[in-house]
Amino acid sequence: MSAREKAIVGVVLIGAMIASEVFDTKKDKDPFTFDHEAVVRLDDPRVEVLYLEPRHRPRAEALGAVVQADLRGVREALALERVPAVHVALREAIDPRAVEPVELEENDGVLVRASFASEGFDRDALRAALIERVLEEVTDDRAAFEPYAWVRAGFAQAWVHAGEAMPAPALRALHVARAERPRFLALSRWQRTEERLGPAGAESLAYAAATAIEARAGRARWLAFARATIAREPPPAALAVIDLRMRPIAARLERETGLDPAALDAAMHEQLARWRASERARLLDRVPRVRASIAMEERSIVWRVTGDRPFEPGASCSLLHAAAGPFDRPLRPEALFREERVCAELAGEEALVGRHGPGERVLVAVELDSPTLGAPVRIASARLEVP
Amino acid sequence: MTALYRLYRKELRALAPFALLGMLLASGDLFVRPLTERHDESSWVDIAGYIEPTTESSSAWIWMVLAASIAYAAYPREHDEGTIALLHSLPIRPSSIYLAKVAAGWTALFAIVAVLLITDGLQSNLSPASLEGGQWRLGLALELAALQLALCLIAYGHALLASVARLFGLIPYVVLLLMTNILEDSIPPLIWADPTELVAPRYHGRSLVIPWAPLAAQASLALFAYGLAYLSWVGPAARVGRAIERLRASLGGKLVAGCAGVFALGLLALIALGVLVGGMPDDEEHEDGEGSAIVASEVTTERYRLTIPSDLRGRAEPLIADADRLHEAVRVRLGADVGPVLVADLTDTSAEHLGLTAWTTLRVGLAGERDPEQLRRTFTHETAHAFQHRLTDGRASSGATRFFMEGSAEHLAQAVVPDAEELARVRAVAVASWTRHRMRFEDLADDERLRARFDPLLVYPLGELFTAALVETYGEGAIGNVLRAMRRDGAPRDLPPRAYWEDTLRAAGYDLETALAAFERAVSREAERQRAAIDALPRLGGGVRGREGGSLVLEATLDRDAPPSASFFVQVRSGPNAGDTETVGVEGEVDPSNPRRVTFRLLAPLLPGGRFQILFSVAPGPRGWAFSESWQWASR
Repeated sequence: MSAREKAIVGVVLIGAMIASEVFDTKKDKDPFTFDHEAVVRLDDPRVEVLYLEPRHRPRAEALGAVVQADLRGVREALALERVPAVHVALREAIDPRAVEPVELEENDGVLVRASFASEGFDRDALRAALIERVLEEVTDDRAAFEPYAWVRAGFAQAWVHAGEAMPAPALRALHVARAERPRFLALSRWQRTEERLGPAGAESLAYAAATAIEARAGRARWLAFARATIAREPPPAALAVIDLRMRPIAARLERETGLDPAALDAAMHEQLARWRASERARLLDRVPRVRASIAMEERSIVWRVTGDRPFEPGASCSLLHAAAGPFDRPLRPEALFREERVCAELAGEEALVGRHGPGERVLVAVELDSPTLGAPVRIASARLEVP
Repeated sequence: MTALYRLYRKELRALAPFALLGMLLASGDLFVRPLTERHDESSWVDIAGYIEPTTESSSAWIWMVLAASIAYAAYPREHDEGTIALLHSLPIRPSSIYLAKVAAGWTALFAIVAVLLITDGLQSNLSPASLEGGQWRLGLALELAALQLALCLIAYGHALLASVARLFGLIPYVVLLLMTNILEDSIPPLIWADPTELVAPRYHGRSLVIPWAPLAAQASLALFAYGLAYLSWVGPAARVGRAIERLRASLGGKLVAGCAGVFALGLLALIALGVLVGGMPDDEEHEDGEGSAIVASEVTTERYRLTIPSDLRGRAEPLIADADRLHEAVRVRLGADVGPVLVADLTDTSAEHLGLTAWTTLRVGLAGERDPEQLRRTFTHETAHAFQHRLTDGRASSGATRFFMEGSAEHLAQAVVPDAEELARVRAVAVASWTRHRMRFEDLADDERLRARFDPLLVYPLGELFTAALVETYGEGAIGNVLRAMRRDGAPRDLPPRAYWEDTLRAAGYDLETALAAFERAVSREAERQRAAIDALPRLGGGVRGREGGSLVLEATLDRDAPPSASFFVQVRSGPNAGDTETVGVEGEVDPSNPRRVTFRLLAPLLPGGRFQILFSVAPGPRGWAFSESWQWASR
């Protein structure tokens, strides 16, 4: 075959491939919506709440109204160009304090599952989770990227708890601050912080940072900072990378709020001191200062939790574990197996025998879930290797 | 020396286009990524999929093709372009020519691997993320690159030898690789004979496990190939090569080459067919020769043509009498038409399954099933599969629908041949697995994801409960409607599992979130109803205890006393990619002195290599489904 013949064959093949792509009648999936009569539907921004049974309709309507108000407020505050459709599905079986995010296809909007008809439903957690998901959607997931993640989490928490003197995340931040002083470094290393403190613990630090910035620089400058970081679709591809390199998050923080990382550390310290001085902070007296140890002994994960005072009734201590693989990457909370115990009944060392084999790396964490804190906070975590 | 160096440079210039093409293939993403994605969000694992722990490396084939292309550009190119005579007329020894060509080939391959190492390193270090950004490690990157280079040099040696016979030289190698593929499935320890295994990374903690023994074996073979290639291209065998050249140039030679080519292609096609058929689960069932000894007779009913072992005719009679009624019961529930007569082979003797169905042919083991009710249930289950195949026209996305196919068949079997106790046991296992492992629909609907962590058989009990919830919510016709929605024209293709189900249920007039809410309500209800049975199921943890004779001994510890009739199992597989037929299972023995300790004995030759995965299970009763822990790694 001559070079010319080879070239013709090549061109024909490439042409056939392009033609098959062009003429392929591949149909896109219809946009996501609940196909059920028991749905509260609101427009501008679009909010759908699936409530399944008529008796849950009032709660669904109330929730839909609150979510819509949030979205309108956030759209205005951050000057969002668009707000994706938000869907909330009733799921009675899950923990009423938890929110189960569901990954949808592009342009399908945001979907979360929550037990909003149950007693003890944490509406604020759902609102915050929805705002976070919306910001991720608006920024093509850039808001979830580590340098920006704390701003997204802090904004959502601060928005939901606006005007509250001492909400649950503040209590959790105080609890976290018993063991470590909150710093900008912990915020900027979000993946590690979230792994160490758990989602609720990390969000409490972000909340402390957001309120500290607002208190020190004013609401307008805090919102300007949020607008500059988590409210716009980033420039395409490599331009977004260059943009972040040229204007790192610390530089943007300083430019928009006048606070450099050291000043933010100081502002967070002041914020925590203000919270500590409030009456509600005494609630923390119910929660012991806890220490946890985790070790891998042969095939067993050995863990121990100790407190400086008795655990409050209903407090649970859990061991979380999952194979982590040879390469570090964040593991979603739902990917972790959980062994739950009543804290008060823990007697010395606990051992989980033989769930992971030799040579496996295992992410192991211990969480305290105390009624006062309102959400589980990690007290220890490590990536251990089974010998 | 200068002449050798000059020749080496000339060879390098000739190989430059190949090397550049190789670099582009291996490292072209360096140019594409910045244009298509925010590359600071990508970690090393995202950029270099070949570093992921696996038992099958697809990148190995790329390396081997690359190495073969470069090897074929050594001598055959000179022959084809007629420059070999000029080369031999130069005042340089033939061995030096060989040396220069090999050195140039190695250099080109080294350059490709090195560029990949550098470009991946550069890209991986762009991520500022505190966890993912730290994935790249120079030591590990060098080790992986060294293994890639080793594979390239091994493949280069063999290709240099193969190039003596031009493209025909590749045929024995392709045959060998296919044979290795077959051998790997049937004799897992021979996995080391497969060169692609060299670049299928395995880790101990964060450290790469270098496959020294396979590497040494492969390197020895490659050295032999280098030697033979030398003899063929340079030494006395060169004369044979020249004779082949002359033969190829003649008309008769071309005819012979053409016939040989057709023969070789036919042989390859046969082998490929053999691999395909060998990989099908229903071909491994007559290991003991029982199948061939069966004397069978045929019975025809209105809906079935049944083949029955003559000696088990008595056992088959009730089933034959009831078969058409079972068929009709399934048909009505699915809202399907009667369809063609189904071929039912009841002579099946597989130890791995109760039944199998492919389109209109079903196989059910009459010999292994003494319980007539269970036999009818299995028969109904397989009949349901035959309907599923027809209603979906084979268009269902297999990875996303496996749980529904098995679950709905199980549900129909239970609906047509009910057994409340058995159903309760099935559902207890389903609920225990779902709640203890904190599973989500995304686990169930993605078969690959399910298999990676959990017992693949969970699709039966969990699928049954999902189907029951679907039927409870949308009525008896829901199963048939969902199956028909899978077949509809114009359905979107290549959807991920969750989106697939969202789309399919909507097309059937249903809603996924509603169905899932109903499913989880069913789980909660069953959990409440069977609290005692679920709580009685012990959790198992353990690992390898050691060797006893030719057996490997595994030991599991229970966290509570097991029900008196409980039985324990362990499954073993090479890794998450292993198929059902590559998984070995044995039953354990409870330690008489300690009822919370169970011992399993596995014949060492059955183990798939030095490192493998194990899964402990406990069945609450003497038969039926088992609750399984999650897969964990183990070593001999």
